[in-house]
Amino acid sequence: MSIESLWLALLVVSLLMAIMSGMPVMLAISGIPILIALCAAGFGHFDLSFFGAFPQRIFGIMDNTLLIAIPLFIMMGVLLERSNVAEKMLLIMARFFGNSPSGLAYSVLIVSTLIAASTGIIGATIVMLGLISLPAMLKSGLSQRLSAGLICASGTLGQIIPPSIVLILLGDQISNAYIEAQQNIGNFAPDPVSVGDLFAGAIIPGLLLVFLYAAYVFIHEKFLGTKTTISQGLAADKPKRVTLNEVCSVFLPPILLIISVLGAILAGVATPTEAAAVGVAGTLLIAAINSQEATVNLKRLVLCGVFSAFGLIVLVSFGFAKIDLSSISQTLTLGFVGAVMMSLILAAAIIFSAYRLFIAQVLSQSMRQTISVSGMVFAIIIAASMLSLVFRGFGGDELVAQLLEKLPGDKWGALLAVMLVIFLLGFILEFVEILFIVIPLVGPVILAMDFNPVWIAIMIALNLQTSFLTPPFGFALFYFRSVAPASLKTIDIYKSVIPFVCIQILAMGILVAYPALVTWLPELLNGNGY
Amino acid sequence: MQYWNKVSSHVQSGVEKLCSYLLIVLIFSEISIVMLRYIYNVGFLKLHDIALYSFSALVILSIVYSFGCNAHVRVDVFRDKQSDKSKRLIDKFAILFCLYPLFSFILYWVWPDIIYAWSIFEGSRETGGLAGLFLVKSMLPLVAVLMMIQGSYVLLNGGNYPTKNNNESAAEATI
Repeated sequence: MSIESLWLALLVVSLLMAIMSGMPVMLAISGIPILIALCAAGFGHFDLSFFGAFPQRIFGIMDNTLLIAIPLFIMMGVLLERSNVAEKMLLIMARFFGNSPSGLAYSVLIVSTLIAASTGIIGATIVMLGLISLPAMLKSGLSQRLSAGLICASGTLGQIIPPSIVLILLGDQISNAYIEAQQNIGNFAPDPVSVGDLFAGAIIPGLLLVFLYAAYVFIHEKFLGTKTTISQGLAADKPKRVTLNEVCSVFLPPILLIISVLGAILAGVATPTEAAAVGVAGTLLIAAINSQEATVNLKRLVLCGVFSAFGLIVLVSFGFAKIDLSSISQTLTLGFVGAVMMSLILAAAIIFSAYRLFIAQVLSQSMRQTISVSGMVFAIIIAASMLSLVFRGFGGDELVAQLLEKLPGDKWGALLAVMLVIFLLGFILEFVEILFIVIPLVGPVILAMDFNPVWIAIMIALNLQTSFLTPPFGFALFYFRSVAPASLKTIDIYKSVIPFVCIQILAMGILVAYPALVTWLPELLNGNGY
Repeated sequence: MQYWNKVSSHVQSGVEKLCSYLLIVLIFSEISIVMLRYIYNVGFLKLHDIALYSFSALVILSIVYSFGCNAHVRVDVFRDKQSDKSKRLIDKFAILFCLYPLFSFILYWVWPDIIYAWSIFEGSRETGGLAGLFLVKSMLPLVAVLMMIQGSYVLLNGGNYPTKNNNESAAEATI
């Protein structure tokens, strides 16, 4: 055993102690490596000039154009959260299903799928579902087990259903690791893995999960559930019929937004950052129209803005508006004038919505929260790059590679080991830390083993999601615990998610057996064969 | 102490304001980029640089803001069971032995880069891009100094953070 591995062991142990002590994780994963490196340098076992590269790494994070999407998607999620769109959706869905218990369960699942597709902020989704739907679910006679488990599980869907922040960060890391891996085995022009590929790959597995959850609800209610008395209280207030108007005004905007954001990325038209900008613009409009102070005039303006946006899409995609400002002469056609008018209306609608939200103090609150969440995410990204610098300085990357190659069961053994490590780390760390610490270390080794990079990425995302759900340390359970009534015992919450953890594992098994579920769509869209 | 309080709250509110403006600039410049590109088929390098610069400055400065709100993630498996005293002790330890070394080293290592960037008034990497990259780069040493100021405040103030952060928003703030 070399002296470096002793220092590495010391690093890992003290790191774990520091993280578990409850100090800010960002300080732990950046400060402890520095301390250990200084000690080692005192013995002449570490070359401090390694650190000279650190500022360049920070600058590299600061001008990574892919990451611009992160604060934008955070802003989008926070705004949607604050505009109570999800609440309204849930209430209408519940009425639509006539307040029947299993109907309520399905509506929780559908609404969280939509929310997951549009925001991907897990903590907030679970808190919201727990506050709004748990009382209703329990009142309607659904078993506690099913309700609690379903809320926790469907709240974590945001990680896997695109566009999700996890997949953007994962895409950044996987593509770096993949290029490094391919170069190591002599392929100097590998096809790059894009975030769009990951989004495309995640759609079918995400929907598969939703389907499996729904199947579980169905089976549970039909065969397992103790027959509940539906009458309690709810039958008395006969639900009002859901009008088409309500459905259109509450469901249509978020769905259109999801389609436009996702569609733009998947079709390969827009970069994630551009799509995120579209998402923020759309969310500003939705939030403004849903805010309590929305005046009739504002609503009209927003509607005009939305119609202009779709008019613009039609005009531009069918080539009616032949606009090319880069050419010198511009012929004044009807399409051109129309496009200019519509883009002005759209811009006005966005600006006035933002102004309204600013007056109503929604905007400044959302911005503060966006800034604080981005600060948290980027602090971890920067701190993790410090940790991996020191880890590599001690030769840790070679050690990990050797360990993985020594494992029995060729490439599957290595993959299983990596997945297990990620799963265990998921108990104590947030996904950002895991992605930025583990992937740079094991990614190049695993990806040199002839796995499809998109498939690996989706498996990692699923694995992280499962780990967040698994008792006793799953993050989702902590969030849920913070809003669940005291009458719901913690041990019951733990028991309630076990079926869902099994479903997750089943889903991962299905993806191992049928990798095409992941790889088919990206190949169809981009024609990439890895 | 009084004086230190003032400095720290100025830092916090200043960073908050600056970040808010940067976020607004980022959002609206990205929206304009998209509209200009897909409707009018034009792109301006300077506009892209505005978005990129505001992003760079925003994310690095937001670290100071999150620290001031005590919003950086912690692993609270054991933290719930710790007494207030030991929580504060751990935070003080983190500031003394992690925050100070990290940011003083960053300051030390980045200094040559900053001197160089200022000496040539470094601009965008693209020709025809926006000038002023040296200002964006200078945000890193600025953040290092501000973090040490805020860290000292927490140390001197017995483990309290400049902005009180209630638990509710902490749960919401986590992804």
